[in-house]
Amino acid sequence: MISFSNVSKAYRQGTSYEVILHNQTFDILDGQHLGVLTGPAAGKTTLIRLLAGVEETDEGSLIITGTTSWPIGMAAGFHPELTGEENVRMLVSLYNLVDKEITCFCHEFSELGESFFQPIKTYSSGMRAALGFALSMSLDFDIYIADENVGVGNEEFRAKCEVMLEARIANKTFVFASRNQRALERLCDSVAVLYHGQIIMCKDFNEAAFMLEGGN
Amino acid sequence: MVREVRARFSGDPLGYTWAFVTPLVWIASIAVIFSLVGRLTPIHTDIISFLIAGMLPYTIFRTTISATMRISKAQKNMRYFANISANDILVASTLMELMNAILIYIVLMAGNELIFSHFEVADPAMTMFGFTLAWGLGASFGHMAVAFTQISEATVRFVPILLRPMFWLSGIFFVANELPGGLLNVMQYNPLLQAIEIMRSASFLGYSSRIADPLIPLAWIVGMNLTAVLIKTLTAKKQYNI
Repeated sequence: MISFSNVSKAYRQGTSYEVILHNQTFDILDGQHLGVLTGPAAGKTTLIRLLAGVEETDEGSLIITGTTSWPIGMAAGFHPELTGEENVRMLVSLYNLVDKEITCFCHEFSELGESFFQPIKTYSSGMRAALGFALSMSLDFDIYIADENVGVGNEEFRAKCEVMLEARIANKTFVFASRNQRALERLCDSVAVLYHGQIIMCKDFNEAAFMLEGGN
Repeated sequence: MVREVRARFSGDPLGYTWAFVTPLVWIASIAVIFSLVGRLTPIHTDIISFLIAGMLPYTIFRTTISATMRISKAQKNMRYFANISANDILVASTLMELMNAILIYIVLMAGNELIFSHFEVADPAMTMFGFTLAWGLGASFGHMAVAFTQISEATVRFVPILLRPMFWLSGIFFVANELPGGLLNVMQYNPLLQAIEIMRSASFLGYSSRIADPLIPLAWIVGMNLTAVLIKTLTAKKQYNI
């Protein structure tokens, strides 16, 4: 379970402050698939970074029970000088897991072919994203988080990503922050809006969209 | 740490050999300059041993600072994985620099023995202590500089300017005993000069520094780390004071 208790978070922007969360208390239950619909620059990445444990709250407490993934598809952790295979092995080793099966899965799922054995710096952004997504899907977590993009590549590959993601998050907690209402609808069973520092739970996606457009 | 070691020198035919090239080039260049200007070593030892004992502590000091500042940015996304903290990344990078520098020291000393039949380490434990102090100063300065970058990104530009004089003031080309009394009274508070003096006093039987005092670099190490912790504490919770 994920429990926010009076959580506040803000950033300094020059001389002013950008409030991301203002004294927010809410829970995300085990197995819940929560979509967080946001406007531009509303703080979805900060919310995801809080859940990933990369950021700390300014006030209040955030208690997460269970293991949490990194944002699905994140390719920024790859070292450009290492090959795709070496990166996968290195990152998997951080979790004390046997890498052979995972490496094979990543190689196959990402469809990188021989490029898998080349340095990441030679990859296109699409290839990096494909490997990032494959790696995200190869490890078992209690909680999965996603920031905007959950599928990569062409239409066929995106569909493959979404099928894999649905299978992976079944019976797991999933928090997906996005501006894309349709993507949230496909993958989430509940929705909230992040608006002016508040997380507002909504009864359906239409209400969330209406609220975000300023209808309240 | 393994990731950084494997990544740093990959993609190049010389690979890890590059780690030895920089100090070797420095030592060779300064040895040539010494011979051209007719400068003798200020203590009774060979020029290579004298320069190794000055240049390597300085090199580890600078490379550790560079590594901590570089890695805190370059590896920031590693914090998403397996609960790796910013401190884990800093510790890993500084330890890698220490291991790297010890290896370089051993290879250079062995090379000096094999090629020129010169080898002088009178007190290996104290020599390593001086060497480790130089590393500790670099790690602590790097820690403090990384903390200051949370206040201002200009720190990244300011640090090299601040450190440039250290090359000339830290006893790479001279020993403290050569300095006049008034200057020595001021220079003794340079912690890197202290680390180098400790290393030279321990390495060479014919040299006993007038100022070597480990308390000075240790005090700097404690002070810089406390400053870093203080800055991080003050900046960590400040954002929401609206």
